[in-house]
Amino acid sequence: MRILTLTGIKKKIGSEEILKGIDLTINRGEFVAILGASGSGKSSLLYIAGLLDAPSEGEVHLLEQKVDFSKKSKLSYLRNKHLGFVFQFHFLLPEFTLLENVMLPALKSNKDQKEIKERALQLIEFLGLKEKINRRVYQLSGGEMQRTAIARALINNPELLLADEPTGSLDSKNTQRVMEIFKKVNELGTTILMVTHELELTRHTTRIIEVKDGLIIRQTPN
Amino acid sequence: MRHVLFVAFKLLFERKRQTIISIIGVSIGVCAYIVMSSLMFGFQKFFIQQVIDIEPHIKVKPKESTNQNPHKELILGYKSEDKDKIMGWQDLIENFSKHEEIKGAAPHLLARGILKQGIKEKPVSIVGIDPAREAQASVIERFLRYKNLRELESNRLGVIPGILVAKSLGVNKKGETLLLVLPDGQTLDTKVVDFFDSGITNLDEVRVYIHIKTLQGILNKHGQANEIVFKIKDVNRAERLARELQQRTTYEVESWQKAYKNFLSIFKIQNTITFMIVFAILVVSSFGIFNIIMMTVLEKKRDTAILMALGFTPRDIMLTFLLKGLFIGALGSMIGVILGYGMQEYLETIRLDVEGLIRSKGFVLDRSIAHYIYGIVFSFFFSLIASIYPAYRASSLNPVDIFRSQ
Ligand SMILES: Nc1ncnc2c1ncn2[C@@H]1O[C@H](COP(=O)(O)OP(=O)(O)OP(=O)(O)O)[C@@H](O)[C@H]1O
Ligand SMILES: [Mg+2]
Repeated sequence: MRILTLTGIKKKIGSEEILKGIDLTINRGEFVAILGASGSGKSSLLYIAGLLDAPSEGEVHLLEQKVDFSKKSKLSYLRNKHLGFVFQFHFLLPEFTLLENVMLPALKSNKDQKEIKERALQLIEFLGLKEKINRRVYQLSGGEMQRTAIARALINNPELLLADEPTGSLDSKNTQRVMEIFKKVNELGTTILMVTHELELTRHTTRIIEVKDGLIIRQTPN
Repeated sequence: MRHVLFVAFKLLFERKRQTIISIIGVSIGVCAYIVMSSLMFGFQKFFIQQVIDIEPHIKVKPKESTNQNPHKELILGYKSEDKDKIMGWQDLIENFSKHEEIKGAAPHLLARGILKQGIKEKPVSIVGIDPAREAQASVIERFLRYKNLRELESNRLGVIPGILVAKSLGVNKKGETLLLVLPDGQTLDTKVVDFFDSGITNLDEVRVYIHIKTLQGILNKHGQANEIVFKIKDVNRAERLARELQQRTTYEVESWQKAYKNFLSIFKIQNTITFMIVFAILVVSSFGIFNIIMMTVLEKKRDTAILMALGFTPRDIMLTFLLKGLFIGALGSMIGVILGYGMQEYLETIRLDVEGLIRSKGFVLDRSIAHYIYGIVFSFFFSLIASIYPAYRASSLNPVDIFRSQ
């Protein structure tokens, strides 16, 4: 099953073309890395794949359905139901506790609050944060924050987990830990698309896509 | 909706101090609205109620002879006093009383005069009444200190001066004598049988009641009346009824609204001013709300972008921020209502002599629930208006722009 298909994606910002025609298909179960230097267009590609930004040209299919970028609330619905995001910075909401941050995306569904909490607690335990559930964001370490963000991204059982330099602000120990989590999550069935500029981090991925100046220059199955 | 409330609730506690200030602003607006309108309407309702009780709902009087040709009189041959009487007033009463909306009627004879007590004197307007019939057309007895209207019947030299007339003459006891001087120089020794105290200053300081027969006698106008007063069923229909009855007579038919139109238009101006003051307060507090929501929106750009990435729709974001404005409106009006109620309670305990258009022993309040409801509705409306733009700004934010700038 094709989770995500990008065809002929171009993105212009002003007069500058930062994506120059990207074709990419991601199948269920893959762990795909997008590798490229700074400024090559990785993040821009991820925003389009994550339905956060509309391409200037080209089409996006999510779960084999064409995405209509003009329908904002439909995009929100699709993001909430099928996609999970992890960014370089944790992007947690500082007003909430760890547990509340993790539960937040699930509250949009009509699932029972108790059910949501149970799943959140399972995820939190899986990510080794069980003792910290009632801590506020600023009472957590960088690694803990990023793991909380991962739990939040997984709460709705996404079809696709999108990560933009998820370890960019972590030390090597925490980086390793996050990569191990990603590997485990992928083995448990979640498809992952991860952006990075470090070759070393692609060790656990199933496919590497190299990007340069807005174009895919090479694809290697790992 | 659950996810919106979840976030909106936390936003309430952002920028606590400013939120509290906005809430106070709204409270003051609502409280001011409640107190000012209850004072204003209380006073106006009191005034109108007194007027309706004392004054005729409709009266018939000779046409005012403003630009009449003086020679006309000479040529047509009627005497000048004919202009100051209602010919066939008994028939007129009988005729009008057939109308189903007329409840009662009474004749008056009006004259100008001066009341004297020693060296003190006071110009007055004398109202000659028939005590038995008067009761059918007005409730002046209620405003008499000793409820002694009937005594005019037995004591034909009795007078009932307005309380302020009596005061300026230094009279404060029943039985004191006053000298009544009429325009033609005739005098009459009268005896005070009661005092008339309506609370309406411009009546209490000029009016004197006397038996109509006495006045007719001394003015040599036997059997005459120059004003007929009517009580009607629905006072609000007085103006329409007056116009209808005007068709039946050549004399002037006037409703109480017309007789008091100067006062009624002052009330309108008063209400407009009150409304404008409260409006200004609410506008100022709206700016406070606008400010704080706008600031929250700007500060929470990053959080908004995250929420959007997590699946909040633009509508969800809009609602999240609107709720903060509505919360300020709600809490503000709740406090305003409590404050307003407290102020009303307090004002009612204050005893002081109010002297103005009306006299009373304290503030006359109209404590209708409507003032509360309007206050709440206004503040909600203003809070909503003030939050719409900032909330819209938040909802139209592009999350990618925020992520790129991190
Ligand atoms: N708002 C913008 N206006 C103009 N150019 C932009 C804008 N945002 C990004 N760019 C340009 O688009 C190109 C791709 O940016 P993008 O953020 O996708 O790169 P990236 O591969 O993610 O880089 P990094 O590894 O540094 O995050 C860059 O050359 C960048 O300068
Ligand atoms: Mg990037």
